[in-house]
Amino acid sequence: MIIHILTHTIPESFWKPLSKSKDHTLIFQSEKTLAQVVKLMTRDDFLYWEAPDNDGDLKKGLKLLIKQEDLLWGVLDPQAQVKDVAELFFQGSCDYLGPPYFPETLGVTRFERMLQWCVGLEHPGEVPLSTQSFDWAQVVSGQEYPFLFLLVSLADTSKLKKRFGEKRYHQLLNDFRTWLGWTAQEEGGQLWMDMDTSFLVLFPDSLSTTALIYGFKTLLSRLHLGFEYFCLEQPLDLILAAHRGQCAWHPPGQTGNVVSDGVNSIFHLGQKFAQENTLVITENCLPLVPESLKDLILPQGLFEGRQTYRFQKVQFTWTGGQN
Amino acid sequence: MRIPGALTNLTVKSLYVSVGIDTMIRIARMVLPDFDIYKSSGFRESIPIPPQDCAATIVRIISQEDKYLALIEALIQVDQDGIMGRKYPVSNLRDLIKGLVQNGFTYDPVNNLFLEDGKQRKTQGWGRLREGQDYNLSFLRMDIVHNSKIVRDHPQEHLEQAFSQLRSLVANKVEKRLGRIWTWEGDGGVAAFFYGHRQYLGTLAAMDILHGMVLLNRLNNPLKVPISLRLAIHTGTVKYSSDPSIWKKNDVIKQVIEQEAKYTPKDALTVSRQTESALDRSFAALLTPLKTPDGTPLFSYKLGWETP
Repeated sequence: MIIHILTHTIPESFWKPLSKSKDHTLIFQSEKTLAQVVKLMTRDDFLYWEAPDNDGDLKKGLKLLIKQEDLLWGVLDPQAQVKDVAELFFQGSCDYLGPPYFPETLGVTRFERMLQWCVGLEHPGEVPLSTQSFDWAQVVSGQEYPFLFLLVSLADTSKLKKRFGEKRYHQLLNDFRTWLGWTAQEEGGQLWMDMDTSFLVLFPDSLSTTALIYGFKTLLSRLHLGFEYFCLEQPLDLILAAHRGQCAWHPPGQTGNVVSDGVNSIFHLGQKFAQENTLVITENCLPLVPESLKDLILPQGLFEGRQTYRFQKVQFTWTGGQN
Repeated sequence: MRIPGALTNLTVKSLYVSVGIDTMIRIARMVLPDFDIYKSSGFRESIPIPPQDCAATIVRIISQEDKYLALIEALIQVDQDGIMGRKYPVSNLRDLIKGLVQNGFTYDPVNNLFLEDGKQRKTQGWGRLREGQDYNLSFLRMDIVHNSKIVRDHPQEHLEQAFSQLRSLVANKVEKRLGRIWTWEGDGGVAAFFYGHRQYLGTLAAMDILHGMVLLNRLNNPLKVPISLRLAIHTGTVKYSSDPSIWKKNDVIKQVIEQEAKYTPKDALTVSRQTESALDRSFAALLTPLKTPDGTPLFSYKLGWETP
C-alpha cells in the first residue's frame, strides 16, 4: 500500500518498521499542502496527517478529510490537539495516535490490523441476505433475528404542534401510527416501537428489498398523506432511515429492555443524521436496493463509522422543464 | 331501484311524525316539482288528507318515479338546514341512511348525495345519474404517449402485462376517490368525478397516477421503455348519457381531450382554470401556471427530483 505522510514534527524513525516492509511504500509529502496530497491519492492509498497546533488549521484540515468519503486516512496528534477522538472515528478517520500512548515507532502489525478493521468498515455492505424463513406468528420472544430496521419519523413536529394545537397534533400522531402499522404489515413488516415522533418498523431481513421499496413508496406518498389523509394543507414531512442488523425480538409494547446495537444505530441515524423527506440507508442496505432505483441513490457520507446513502428527494412542485 | 318495504314504511313514518302536511308536500316538490297530492292520492281537495295517507302517497309516487334516494337527500337537507328559516328535525333519519347503506349505497356528505357502494357495484353513472340530465362533473383525460410505437416495438405478452398493470393502477387511483372510468381504450381513457369535492378528488387521483407511474416504470414495467402519460383535468356541465357516442360529443369532453393533446407535456398533468379555481389555495399552490402559445389559462403539475 502507498502511505502518504504529511507531518512536521514526527521524526523519520517513527516510520522505520513500515519503511522496511515490502508491502508498503511511504511517500513523505511535507512540502505539499493537505489539499494537494488528497488530490494525489487513490482509493487504495492511505494518508497519515499530523494535526496542526493551530485550531483553525486543524478544523480546516479535518473538514477536508471528512469530505473524502472514498479515502482512507488517520490522524497523528502528538500535541493532543483533537478534542473529541471518538467523533473523529465517526467522521471517517481510520486511525488516531496521540498521547499518552503515542508510540516511538509505528509497527507493521498494528498498521495492518488497523487497515483490516478500517477496510472491513468500508465494505460491510456485503452482509449476505438472510434466507432464514420468518413468520411473525412463530417468532419467539427474546430470540435474536436478522432484521431490516426502518425508522420513520415525523419531521418538524414543533411547527405542526404550534399550527394545529396539542389535541389535533396528538390525533395526527395516533392516526399516523395506525396508518404506518397497517401499511407496513401489508408489506410483511411490524410496527415495533415508537419514541415520541419516531416509529421503528421491523422487516425480516429476507424482506429487506420490499422494505426499502416500501420506504421509497412512503416518500412518494407524502403529498397525499399530507393533503388527503391528514388534512394538513401541505405534504407530510418525514424522515426515513434504514439499517440491517440483528436484534432480540420482544412483542411490541414490551420492548423497554431491548439492548441492541442495531436499534441504537437506527435511532441515531434517523434522529441525528438523516435529512427531511428522504430515506437514508446504511451501506449494508445498498446492495438490496433494486437496480432500477439505484440511479436515485446519492452518497450521504460517513455516520458513526458507516458509509451512508440516501434517495434523491421528490419535488412536488414543478417549475417547468422538458416537454 | 327496489326499496325494501320496511324502509318504505320507515320513510312514511319519518315524514308524518316530523312535519305537517304542507311541509310534506313542500318536501315532495323538492324532488318532483310538479307533485300534486290530490291527483296522486285520489282525495278531493275539499277533504282533509290524513297525514299518514299523505306521507304514504308521497313515498309511493316518488318511488315509482325512481327518486327515492332524492327524497332521503331532501329529508337530510331539511333536517340540516330547515325550510324558510324554520328547523324541522327529521326522526329516524339515521336509520333511513343505515337502511340505504345496507342496500348497497354510500352517503356523500359533501354533496348530500347517495351513490352506489363501489365495493358492491360500479356503474358509469354511480347508480344515480339519469340519461339526458345535466350534471357538473370533473373529467380526467389520460393518454399514453407514443402508444403506437410501444405497441409496434414489443411482444404481445409484454404489452398485455404492462397495460393491464397500468389499467389497474388507474382504476385504483380513480375509484378510491369515488371516480368512474368512463372509457379506456388502447391509448388511454377518460375518468369522471361527481361525488365528494370532484375537482379536488380528480386532481389528487391524477397526481397519484403520476406518482404510481414512477413505481410501475421502475419496478414492474416489462417493456424496454418507460410508459409516459399525459393527464388533463377539466370541469364543466354535461348532459349525461351512458352512450359514448353521445357523451364524447360534449364540449367539456372535447375541451379536456384538446387540453391533453395540445398543451400537456409528457409525464405531467394540466389543470383547467375551472378546476383550479375550485381547489383549496394551499393545494393549488402545488400547480404551476403553464404558458400556452394561445394564452389558454392552464396549470401544470409534474413530479420532479432534486438535482444531485
